[in-house]
Amino acid sequence: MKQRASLIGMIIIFISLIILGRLFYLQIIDKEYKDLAYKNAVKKEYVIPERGFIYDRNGKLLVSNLSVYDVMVIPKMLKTFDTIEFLSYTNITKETLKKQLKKAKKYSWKLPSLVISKRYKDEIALLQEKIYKFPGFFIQRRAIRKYHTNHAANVLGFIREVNEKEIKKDPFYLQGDLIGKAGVEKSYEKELRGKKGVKYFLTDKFNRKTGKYNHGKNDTLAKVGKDLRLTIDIDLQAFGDSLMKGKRGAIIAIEPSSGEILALVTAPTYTPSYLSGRNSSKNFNKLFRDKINKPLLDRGLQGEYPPGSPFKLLNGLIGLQEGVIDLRTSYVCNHGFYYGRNGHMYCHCGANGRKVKLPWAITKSCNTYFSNTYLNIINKYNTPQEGIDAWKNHLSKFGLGQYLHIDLPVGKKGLIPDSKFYDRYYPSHRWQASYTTSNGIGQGEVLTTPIQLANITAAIANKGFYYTPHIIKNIDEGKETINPLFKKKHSTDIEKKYYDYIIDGMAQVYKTGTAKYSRLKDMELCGKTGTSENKTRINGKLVKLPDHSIFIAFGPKDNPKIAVAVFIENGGFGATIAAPIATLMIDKYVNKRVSRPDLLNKMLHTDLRTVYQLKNYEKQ
Amino acid sequence: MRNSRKVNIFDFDWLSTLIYTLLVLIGIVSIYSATYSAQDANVLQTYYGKQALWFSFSFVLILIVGLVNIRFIKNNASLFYLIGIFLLIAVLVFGVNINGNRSWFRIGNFGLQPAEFAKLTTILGLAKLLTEPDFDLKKIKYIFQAGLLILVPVLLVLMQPDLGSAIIFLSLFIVLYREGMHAYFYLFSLLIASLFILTIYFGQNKLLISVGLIFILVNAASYFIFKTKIFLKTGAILFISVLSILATSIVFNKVLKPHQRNRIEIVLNKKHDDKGTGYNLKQALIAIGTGGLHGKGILKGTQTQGDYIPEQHTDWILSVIGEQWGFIGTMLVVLLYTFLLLRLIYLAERQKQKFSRILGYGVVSVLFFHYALNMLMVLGLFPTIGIPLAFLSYGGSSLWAFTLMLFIFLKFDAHRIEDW
Repeated sequence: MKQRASLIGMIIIFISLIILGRLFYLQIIDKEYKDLAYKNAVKKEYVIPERGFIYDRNGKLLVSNLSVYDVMVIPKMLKTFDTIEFLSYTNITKETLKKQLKKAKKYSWKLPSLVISKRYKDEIALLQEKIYKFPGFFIQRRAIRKYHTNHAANVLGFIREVNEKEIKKDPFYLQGDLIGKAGVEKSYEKELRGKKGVKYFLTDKFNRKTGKYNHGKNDTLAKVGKDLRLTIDIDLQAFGDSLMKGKRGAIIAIEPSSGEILALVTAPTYTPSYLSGRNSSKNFNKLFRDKINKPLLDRGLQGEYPPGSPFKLLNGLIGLQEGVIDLRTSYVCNHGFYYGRNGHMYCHCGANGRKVKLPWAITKSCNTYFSNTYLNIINKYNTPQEGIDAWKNHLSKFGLGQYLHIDLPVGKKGLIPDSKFYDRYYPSHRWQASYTTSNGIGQGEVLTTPIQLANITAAIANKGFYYTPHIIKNIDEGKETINPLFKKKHSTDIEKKYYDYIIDGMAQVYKTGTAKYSRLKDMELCGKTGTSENKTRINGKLVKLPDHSIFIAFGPKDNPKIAVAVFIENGGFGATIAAPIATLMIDKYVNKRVSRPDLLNKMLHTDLRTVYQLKNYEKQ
Repeated sequence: MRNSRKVNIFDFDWLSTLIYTLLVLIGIVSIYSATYSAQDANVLQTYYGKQALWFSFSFVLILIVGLVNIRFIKNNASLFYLIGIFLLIAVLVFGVNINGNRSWFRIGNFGLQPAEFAKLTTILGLAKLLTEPDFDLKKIKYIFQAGLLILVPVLLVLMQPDLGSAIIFLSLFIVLYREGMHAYFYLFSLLIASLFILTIYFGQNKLLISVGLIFILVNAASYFIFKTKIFLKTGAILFISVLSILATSIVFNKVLKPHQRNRIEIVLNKKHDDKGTGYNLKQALIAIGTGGLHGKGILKGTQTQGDYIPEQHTDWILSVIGEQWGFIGTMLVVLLYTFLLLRLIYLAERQKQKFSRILGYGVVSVLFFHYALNMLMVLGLFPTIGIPLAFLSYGGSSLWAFTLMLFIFLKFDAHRIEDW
């Protein structure tokens, strides 16, 4: 019987070895279960950092954050609750609650759905205290943007929830995250958004948090978004907004010595807070659908218009550089310029058959003089093709016909035609310089955006160079470098001395020329009016619309602090609306004052809405 | 020769007592780890507090065992057996219904599981029967008597129904083997059990063909190579095999309940059901697997603390040990058990009295089945049945029953030299 005892003992040892082998396999060799355990029990939760603040150039806070609270529901966890009590803590109706709950149940039984969105702290405080009475409901905090200004919506932009495409493009984003969709919110999204933190939690089988995973050693802290300081002077921007009341167009102000954009006014516009807060989606749709006023269009960056007379300055500069004109060159102006067969361009410089020389031509904006100059530039070369390409080459040095690479997400190239453009237009290639005469006075095929106009004004003020206009002054109080492009000097290929001639002419514009009624007593300004023709097709017929009112200016003459371009759609003669606005802006910025209250008063009461209504009516 | 050596009432085998204490303590710590909650106010309301309390009561039981005269136990063994049977019948009538099982008496706040104590009384009854004069396990009559003695409690617990305990009672056939029952009985049992598994795994038809082929091959081989005819002997085996194969599908499809079928199929890898019947097993394997070499430490298991495994403080306690102490911990428990069982065999074999030897083997058999089947179940090598891990799993009845069982035998062992 002793063998039987041994056999029993051996069977016990054998079974123990099987158990040990299995344990060894599960615990030491097989890795599968470790992964499964991790997936089972460890849940990631992201901590969304606070978005960076935005300041103006003087350190005034423009955008910060505000906590709002959403009431969420998980239908699965709902129990019967006192609806009347619930409603008494909120300001929604029974029908809304019913509707939202129905929607939530339809969406998902287990996942949270929104019931009440974006309530402020005091609105939700009561419910927060009593939320324990309503199982299934919970309150979730989230941040929205708080605006400390009613201006610069086009610059600041707005944030919205990310869409599928953005999530796919950048793994940083998860469903429900916010992303900058316009303005600096978009162009500096990476700096503003900060770095998400990750918290690892242990969860039980019901997915409830039971504690930190690994004592929080794997957790990473969220890093607050970086603050931006913009080049915008918010007071100047606000002043610009007030001047643009009732008008359509843009005011761009640039500091010539740095390329910093001081004001980027577009009109009509909206208050930034309109696209934040409870009704943001509804409001956005309202703005988006307004195809007549187009408040979401940044006319300063996206509006392409014929530049009109300010363009003559460039033709003057190119003419001087190309040697086709000098200060002694004169053309006879007899109420206009005759070219080609039956080609006539009216001129109201008032020379009445006298000879016109350079500074005076600028002062009085003589079409004849600059048409001749333009034709001489083109005709200097053997073929008009060569000529126009050389001309375009000079212009591109001013940043025209191309993107300026401004640090805002929208922009337009404008148009400077070249030989290929006309070769396409005239398939025989047998076109002549005179066909394009209108380019000489900023009409014709040439298109520029207001910011490009402001930029050439800065280049003229600097006498031959410009810095890429930009909106960022510093990031994170200068701890992060800004785009080196903004520190790079872009030189034009016009000699400095020629600028002096042009600037003298521009100074005369204010003294005796087209803008003499907008001058300042104690500061010498330089400017150039523009009146650009525009036409539209109504019922198939080309109809002439009221001219666009344009003015570019900088000041003071000897030490330019600000360069301004003003563009008023259908504002008429450049001197009537655009010039006073430019003067007021310069005075406001340089001298911190309004020394021409008469002009201010006039501008505040100039309302072009009747003109626009007419235009829209005609369009219909 | 009468030995006059005075036996101390605490003169229990020290090695077994040490292993017993270690296992119970490991159990209490594991239960603590599995059920601890910061909200626990009253320790005695918690599982670990209660288990510690049961453990301290166990000392009282050990003390009582130490004081009781072994002759009293031996002389009244039949009575104890009958009390056990009586309790198993009573629980079917007066027991409380928990999840469809009538396994518990409820006395106030206190639950008592008679099946746990019936294991002890059945061992005592078996020892009594086998030490009757003229009893001979070579005779069919006595085999039937012994078999009946074991099968009565088996049938009674099956009526609760408690399949786990029923299988534990069957372990007592190991005692019969030691006491000289024919080995064929066990070989045939093994054959039937193997055929049962193989039939479920491969299907009835395949198995019938295989068995037939083996029969022909074996006979042909023996005839042509050894020149012997073994047709009759192998024919009998063939007959039993075919019968058990045919019975398999009836038992499997008609007798077993759907969840039991599922559990068998999951172990045989024929079915994957991680969300339903297989959920417990899957989560237990995850917990054990994630423990690695040295585990995550007490209260640090993600699986255990996440409460992923229902009943992790009772039948699935090995998963807690596996996650918190890793392979080192599980190996320690396996080794402790193995040593305890081997030690008990050694003690049983050194008995002069047949009664105490049978008692020893009874304890070995019951503990072995509890240990082996529970672990194999948690490790996914045996279908899930409700068998607690003796000494470690939470539960007052089972701890006390095992304590009594072990120390009654150790008491007999302490008095082995006495001629009684």
